[in-house]
Amino acid sequence: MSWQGKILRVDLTHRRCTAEPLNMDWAARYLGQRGLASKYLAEEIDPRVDPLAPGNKLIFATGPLTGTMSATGGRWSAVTKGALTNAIACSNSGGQFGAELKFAGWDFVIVEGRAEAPVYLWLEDDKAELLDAEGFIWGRSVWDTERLIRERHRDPLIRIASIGRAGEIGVRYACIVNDLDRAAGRSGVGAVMGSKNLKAVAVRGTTGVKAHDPAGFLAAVAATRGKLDPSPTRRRLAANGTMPMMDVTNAYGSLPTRNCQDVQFEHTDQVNAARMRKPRETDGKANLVRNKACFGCTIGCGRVARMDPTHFAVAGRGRERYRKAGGGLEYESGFALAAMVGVDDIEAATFANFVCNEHGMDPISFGGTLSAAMELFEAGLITPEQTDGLDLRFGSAEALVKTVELAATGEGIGADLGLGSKRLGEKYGRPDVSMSVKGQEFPGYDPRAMQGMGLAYATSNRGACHLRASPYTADFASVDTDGRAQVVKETQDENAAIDSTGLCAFTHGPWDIADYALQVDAACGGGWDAARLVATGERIHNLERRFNLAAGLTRADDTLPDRILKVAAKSGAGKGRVNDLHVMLPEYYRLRGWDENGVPTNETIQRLDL
Amino acid sequence: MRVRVRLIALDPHGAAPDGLGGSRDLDLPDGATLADGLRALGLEGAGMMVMVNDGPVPPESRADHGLADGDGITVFPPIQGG
Repeated sequence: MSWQGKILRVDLTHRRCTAEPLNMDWAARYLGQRGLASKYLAEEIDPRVDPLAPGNKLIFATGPLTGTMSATGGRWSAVTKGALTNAIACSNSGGQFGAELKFAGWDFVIVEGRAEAPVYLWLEDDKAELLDAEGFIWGRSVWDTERLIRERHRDPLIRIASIGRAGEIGVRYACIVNDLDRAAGRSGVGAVMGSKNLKAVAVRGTTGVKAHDPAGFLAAVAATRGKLDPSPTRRRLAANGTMPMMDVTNAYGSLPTRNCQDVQFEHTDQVNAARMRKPRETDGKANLVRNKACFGCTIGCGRVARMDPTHFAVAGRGRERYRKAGGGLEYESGFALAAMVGVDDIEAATFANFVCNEHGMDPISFGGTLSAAMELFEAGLITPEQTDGLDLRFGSAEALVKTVELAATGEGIGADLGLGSKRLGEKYGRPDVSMSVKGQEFPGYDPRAMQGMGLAYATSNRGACHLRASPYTADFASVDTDGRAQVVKETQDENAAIDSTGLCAFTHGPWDIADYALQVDAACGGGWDAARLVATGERIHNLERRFNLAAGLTRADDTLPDRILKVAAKSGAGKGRVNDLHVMLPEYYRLRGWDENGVPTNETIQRLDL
Repeated sequence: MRVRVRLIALDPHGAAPDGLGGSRDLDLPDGATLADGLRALGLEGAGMMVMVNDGPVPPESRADHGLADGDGITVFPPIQGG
């Protein structure tokens, strides 16, 4: 079967690495990656633990199809209690790291305790060592860390997941970056890693991954690739990535703009997919260089971009690496670093994205926090004295370029920006400026024109998220609430299952749930079909919910900011509307089999065998 | 009548050279419906999301949705976020 059947437990406090068997009974009920790691976390930590305390654990988790020939089979997740949210966190990444971890023979790495001094974990197949990071890579950027580790161990094929300065200093939305620009980006998993004095996990694997039914697995891969490869979805993502969504949400009136004070951005044509392709007047080259793919991926949605060398963010400031091609803007980073902060400069947004990659910050949450700070600045609550004279008004590309580096290092106003928008708003007595749910900043969809997305944000177990449910088609067909509770519930369950396979969510559409089940069953055996996969997803969602309830979250946390619930959208399809969460939430609870307080009933717990 | 059509993020190997769409005018007979307009664009039954002016029109309503001179039609595929 395609599980390796082996976990590495890393006790940082006692500097000890121990191998143990994967719990196959749990794997049969929670599959892998998001689901199975959440089961381990829920069993092993006190849900009320401070996320930054040694009692929290951090799990690097692959899925059963990670490292296989399945298209997009390179996904891995970081699972922990989130530093940003105080809720269960599962942050999903691609690149090459996950497959390499599997090739080294490990399904999971469970990290616990806290190292007395900074360390990194070095895995070479079944050999596991904790090595000193102080004086070597501690204090260095993600990009330096990857280079230095490969140089020290003399192997260019080592794959590395690490934190940058942001994770070291506890930026609440610090992420874990692997392969230079792929990230377990959301919920502050990098801050948890930093709190443990763990700088990096470096891995080199030379074993393979076996399928339960090799012939059947090859046939399943061929059949599913036959659907994915010729699909319009794959062709669109390969050609333009996710950036075309900018034009869609702008046209629809669901593009979060200037901290959701507006829902359409008048300068969208300066920061969209077409602008990425347009040759610049300065050097005749386009921002977009090419696309790229993660391990085993036949889609290739990733963007490779090169900055304008004459742009003020880099001209005359050194930064040679910022003149080279690197991970470019995708829709979520693009909206957050442009429309959300009112900036119409795609080069400045690309610079900010590079900084987020190099120093390990979630660009969605950084943009959401900066936009909250801009609103506080315009209200006179953050003063020019606090910003060293920097004009922090909406639309300032200079403010974007300067503050992103301050946030990564914690200098000046950067210390406030590292709090995330919720804690920032509370500090300045204006919690209303935080466009977040459970402390996690909005992705790029304003929930007034997209009613279902509002319910998805409010009920996501990791805080506001565009990947936990998929109400897009329903929301773009009408602005009402009809059927949204059902769509959100069903797609939450499906997405929880997909996130537990080791495959990428972007396959959903060309593939239906039966296509995932076909591959899982051939790879793992045990009788996986579509119905069992969906039931597993529902079990996972409820497991996460029960963790959050035990952590102290309540129905009151299943909500949206007042701006979304009480202030009508000014334009677009949702003009004059607020989000009608109060209509959808009770129906959603009922469909889930939860009581009026959002607590799973005993009947539901028994039905799901939790 | 003449309506203004805006295509967003269509198939990169389809009508728009860069896959990003564009704007064009479309002449239709008086009394034409949205379904007629989509048919004239070759996009009927293609599973597209459609807005007329600022409002979305779901698939089941397009055959009955009458167009007027000067209307703006926005068409985009059912893309999801990432």
